[in-house]
Amino acid sequence: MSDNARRPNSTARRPGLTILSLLLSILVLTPVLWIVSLSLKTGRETLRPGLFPDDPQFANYIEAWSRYGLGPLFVNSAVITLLSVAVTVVVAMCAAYAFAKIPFRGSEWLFSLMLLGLVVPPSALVVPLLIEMRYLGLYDTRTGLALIYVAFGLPISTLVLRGFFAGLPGELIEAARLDGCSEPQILRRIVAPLAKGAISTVVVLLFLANWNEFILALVILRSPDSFTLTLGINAQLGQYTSDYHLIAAASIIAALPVYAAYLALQRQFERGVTEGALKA
Amino acid sequence: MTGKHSLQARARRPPRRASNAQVGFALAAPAVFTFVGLVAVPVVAVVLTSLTTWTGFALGDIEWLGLGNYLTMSQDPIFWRALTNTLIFTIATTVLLNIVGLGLAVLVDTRVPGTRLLKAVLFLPVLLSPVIVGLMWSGLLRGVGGGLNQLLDFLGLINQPVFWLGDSRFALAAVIMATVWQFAGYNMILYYAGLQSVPQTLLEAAELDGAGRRDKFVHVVLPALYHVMGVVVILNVIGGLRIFDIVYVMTRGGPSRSTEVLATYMYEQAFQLNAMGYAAAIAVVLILLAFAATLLRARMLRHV
Repeated sequence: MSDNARRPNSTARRPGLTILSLLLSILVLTPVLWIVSLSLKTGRETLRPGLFPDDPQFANYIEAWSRYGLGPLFVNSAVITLLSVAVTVVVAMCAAYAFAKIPFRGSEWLFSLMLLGLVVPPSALVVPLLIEMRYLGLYDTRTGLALIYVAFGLPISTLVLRGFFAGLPGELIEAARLDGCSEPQILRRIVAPLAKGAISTVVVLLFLANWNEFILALVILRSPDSFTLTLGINAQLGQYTSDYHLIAAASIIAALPVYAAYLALQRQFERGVTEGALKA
Repeated sequence: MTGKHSLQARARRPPRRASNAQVGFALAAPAVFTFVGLVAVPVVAVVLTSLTTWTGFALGDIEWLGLGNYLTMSQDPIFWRALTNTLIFTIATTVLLNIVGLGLAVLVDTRVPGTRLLKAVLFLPVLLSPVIVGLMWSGLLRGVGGGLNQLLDFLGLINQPVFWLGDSRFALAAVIMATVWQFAGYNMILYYAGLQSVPQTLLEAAELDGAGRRDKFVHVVLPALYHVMGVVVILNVIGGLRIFDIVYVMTRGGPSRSTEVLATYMYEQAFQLNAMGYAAAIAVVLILLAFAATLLRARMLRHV
């Protein structure tokens, strides 16, 4: 998307703008830096001002990890996120392919119905979802929460994937049909490999949404054993109110994997977020 | 074309077991049923529940009430407070995020040294859970030992701690600021993408006509961004209306309801007071607001 050659002015030095960029970067980072500094202080130091702790306590991270049981929380978040993202992608691919290439009676109507899901706030549905999960025997289970994430991830995923599939040439699919491929085979062998970009967009969107989700998890998960990272950290609030330095360390540990993933896959993340919004 | 091919296919091969339409429906079915079961049915259930008195979780305790919950709601000052706060929050975050986001996108788009760093830094909060953002800002804004008070004290601007989140004059503004901090990078990246599609030829033509930087921005760049702006605004509005996490973590709706929003009030009614019927009525208002915003945007797009 970016095309440096297109903009001849971009190489011109404008020191004022560079300084402005750096100042803004510092401004945006200040809250994070303050939390990092807090996470390295001793318990007694936390109330004292100053960005630089006298003796940085890296052991705070180890203590936060074990005291708040961050290991199991990580595992729960990872299991729920991976399960829900994988299922959503597969289910949405099938539906998007059908909506784009194998129209059936009422398919337009069903697709429009699913698009309404883009607008419904999940928080408004917590009570009926809770009741449904009880009846399904999935209340307070990671599977139940993942299933709800699938339902709320489907509208945007189906929309993005359908947009991509609609652009594929019909001849390609017709040729495969003539060769005797069944529709699932066409989807798996021909369409899916072409859709890597669209799939990565969907994966980024779902990963961010599900990893960071809070209110549905708060309502569906009851026992600390099944808590996600966000729930586990929320549960610490108000319990050890004097241990701000440890909560700060825990927040940073929780934030690191997502930011690391972003730094490694910067292009995919930025494209995913952009296309997920602008193609909608 | 399609018809001809499939006719040939039918002539050459033994008849398929399932018709195309059946295959299509079978492929769409898992998505449709999951969505209907866990989104569409709950929406209907919320609407029906809002017409009942229902306390607790047993389905046997439901009693039909009609519009009683809505009547109660219209006389409930806390509901009006929550509604007002939700609208203030939504409008304030949408306006601020769009101004800040567009400004930052224009800056990043100059691609001078330093803007790549700014882009990566701005994206950091976007990736975080609002729970963690709320936690960080609670720490920053704490009265005793909070980062902001330490800074203001250092600069000599205050001589006693200000309890930002404990003071009903500041709490809502604090939550708004934290949200703007979190999502400025989101709007920036969307506007940045929009700026890439501004036709270069138009910019050059404007330059030849002697247009200054401001003229080019107002008459060429902004009109080219209308579509993106419409999308970004509706995303911000929908996001603002459903706000829950960051308020729940930072203030739980307090002090004295000054940050109470519809979602937190609904949560309180449902899970602390077990007033499921009343909570459902609040949820219906929330859903209707989101749909109203979307319809409004659809209407506006038709007129542009």
